[in-house]
Amino acid sequence: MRPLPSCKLDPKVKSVWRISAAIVLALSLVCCAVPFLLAGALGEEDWAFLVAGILAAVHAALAAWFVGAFPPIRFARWRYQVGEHELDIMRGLFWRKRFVIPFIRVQNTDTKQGPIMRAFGLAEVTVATAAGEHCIPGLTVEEAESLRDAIATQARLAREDI
Amino acid sequence: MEPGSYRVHHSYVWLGGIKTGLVAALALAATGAGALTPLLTALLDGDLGTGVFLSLLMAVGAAPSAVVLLVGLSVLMCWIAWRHLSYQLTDREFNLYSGVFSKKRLHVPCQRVQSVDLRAGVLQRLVGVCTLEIDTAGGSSNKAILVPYLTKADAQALRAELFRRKRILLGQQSSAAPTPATAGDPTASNLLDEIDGALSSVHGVFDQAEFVDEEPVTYRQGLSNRQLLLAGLSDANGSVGLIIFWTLAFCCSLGLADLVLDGVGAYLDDYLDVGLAAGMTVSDLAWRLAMRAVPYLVGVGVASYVATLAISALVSLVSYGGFQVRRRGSRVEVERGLLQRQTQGVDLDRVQFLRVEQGWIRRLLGYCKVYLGRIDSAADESNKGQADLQMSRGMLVHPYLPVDQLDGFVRSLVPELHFADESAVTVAPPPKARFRAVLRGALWHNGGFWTLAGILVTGAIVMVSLVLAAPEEAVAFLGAVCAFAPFLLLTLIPMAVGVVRGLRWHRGSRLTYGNGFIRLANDGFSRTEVLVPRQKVQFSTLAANPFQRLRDLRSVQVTTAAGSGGTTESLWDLDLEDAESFQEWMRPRR
Repeated sequence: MRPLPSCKLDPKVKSVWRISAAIVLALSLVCCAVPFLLAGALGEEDWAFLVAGILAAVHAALAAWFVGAFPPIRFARWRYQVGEHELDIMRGLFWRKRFVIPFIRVQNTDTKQGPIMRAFGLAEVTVATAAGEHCIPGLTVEEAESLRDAIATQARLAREDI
Repeated sequence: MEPGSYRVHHSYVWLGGIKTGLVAALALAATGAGALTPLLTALLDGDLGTGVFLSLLMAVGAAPSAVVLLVGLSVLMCWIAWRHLSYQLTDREFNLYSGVFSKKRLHVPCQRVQSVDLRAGVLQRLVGVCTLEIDTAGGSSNKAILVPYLTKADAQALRAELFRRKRILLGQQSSAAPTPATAGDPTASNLLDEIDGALSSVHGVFDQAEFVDEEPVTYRQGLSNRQLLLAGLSDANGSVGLIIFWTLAFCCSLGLADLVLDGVGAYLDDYLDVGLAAGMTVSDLAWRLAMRAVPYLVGVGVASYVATLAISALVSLVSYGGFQVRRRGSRVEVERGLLQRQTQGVDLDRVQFLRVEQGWIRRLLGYCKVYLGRIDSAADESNKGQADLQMSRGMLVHPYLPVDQLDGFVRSLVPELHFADESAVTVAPPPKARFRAVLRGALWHNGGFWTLAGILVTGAIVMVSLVLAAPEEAVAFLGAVCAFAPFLLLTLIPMAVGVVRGLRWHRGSRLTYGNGFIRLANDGFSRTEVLVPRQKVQFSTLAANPFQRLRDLRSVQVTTAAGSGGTTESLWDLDLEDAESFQEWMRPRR
């Protein structure tokens, strides 16, 4: 067994995942359940409350997974390493994948920061090749910048054609 | 071709105009026919009032004038569009100007040109014009640039000029073409080639001078009669047609549903009454009924399968008409299609992979299909799904090549892609992967298994709900199920075939790497070999699901930029050590 990639994401990224999952689930719950609640309250139909209850239960289960259990597992499985000539990424829960992306194949790199990420001082770096993108979420802003610069420097040495 | 601004051919106005006009007229005629029906019925009823007669006269008179009007209108619109459509070639770039009200300018720097294809439909071929398609480098969002209605000579000249300018801008010499190992077989020609030649010669009307490319062709290869026929036949695929046929049949029968259902219902009632009176059980009756219906169903199924098989064989035969693959300088060009003509090309530096495919028919006969992978722009408006499928496989450079000639063909057409695998590392799936291969073949990647599972699950659900709701019916249902059980055994056939496929996969699949190449071979009844130059790999991946992790196995994937948005080639279930050594080899090094 070869050594795993050495770097882990910033632990704060778990909170980011939790908060964004919670927001999405809350919005979806409101959108799905409120019409049934209203129908139940106005039309006095009992089945509407039942449907709303089922929806709430489903959302609770999803929340338990995506807010509670999943982020730590995902965090534990996420590893990356910036080598001299290549980027090494290992991730995945069911399908565990390990990518080796040579810097000379990188077409462009982006740094992105959503509002939640910004609150935690994190950023994500997207590395695009001619055949798809790879995204490293949850780096501190300094790490993200230096990673982006490193890749950009290497990518500049790339040959013109694919 | 001198730098400057050019118009496209004037057939853009009349051919394009007539085409759109006729389509519109056809649509009009279809709606008009609907409107005419009440008139006709009135006539047939003997209601020969002057009003009816007059309106009939008007309809008959109005229809042709409407067609003329529509065609005229679309010709006029095409003329206006044509006036505003032009392309410009300068030293460094190609521009396409279009648009009447909102002006559009498409701009391609010459060094970004990846490939230039020519396409022509039947009418266009007869007139001698074609559509030029310029592809630029990769990315799933960029579209190909289409220059419509160029005369063939103009299009060929423009293509040669674009490549020439690109070479100058990139500071490359006109690369000397490598001497081919064999000169090809120019004598290999077939019946369709002659028809094709006749079709091509018609274009003399508008396309005066034959364009002569300055770069010589060093290798060319066509198809012999036998190869053409067998290529068409072995590409025949009835399954798609079968699905279409059954869907159509289903839609038609919906229209007749009431009629059919009444008839069948009455028949069933009679059948049950007579049978029950004769003292037979329901499950016996169901069995006998099935036995009676099955031959008809099988007959219709086989007949429609054969029919669609024949049609698709004919279609692929025509699409291979006039096939020729050429090596010109540093480019490989493929020309094919009797009716819908296309000329594709790829520069040797841009070839992403070489793929050799053997379907089971070709394998039995000892032939294969050869593709070159290249980067394509996002598919254009027409037949997107099919185009995508073709792209991910690559550009077809030979539809029917004898396996023993493969080596010579590759050495002559693309000597740069010849893989000397003597000193290369070869790894195969280890013995512990055999069981997984069999399971995959028999169950997970097997339609028969999923059909069986679907039927069983549905049956179980019905059974449970029957037991809960109406226990007295459940026994009868169980009886019927048992009567039909032998049919379920049919699904064991594909599963048994799958077992053999899995074993063959395990025996014949290989990963070979070294000397700057990677070769992935996936076996089975059919066989696919993909040769990828190492420098074309965008990234490599080792993937493992929990079951693979349990046995220390890994899937190897290499992703190239071929197609639109990349193509991934993979080989399952290599030993962890082997897979990791491969990925180490894939790491960049100085």
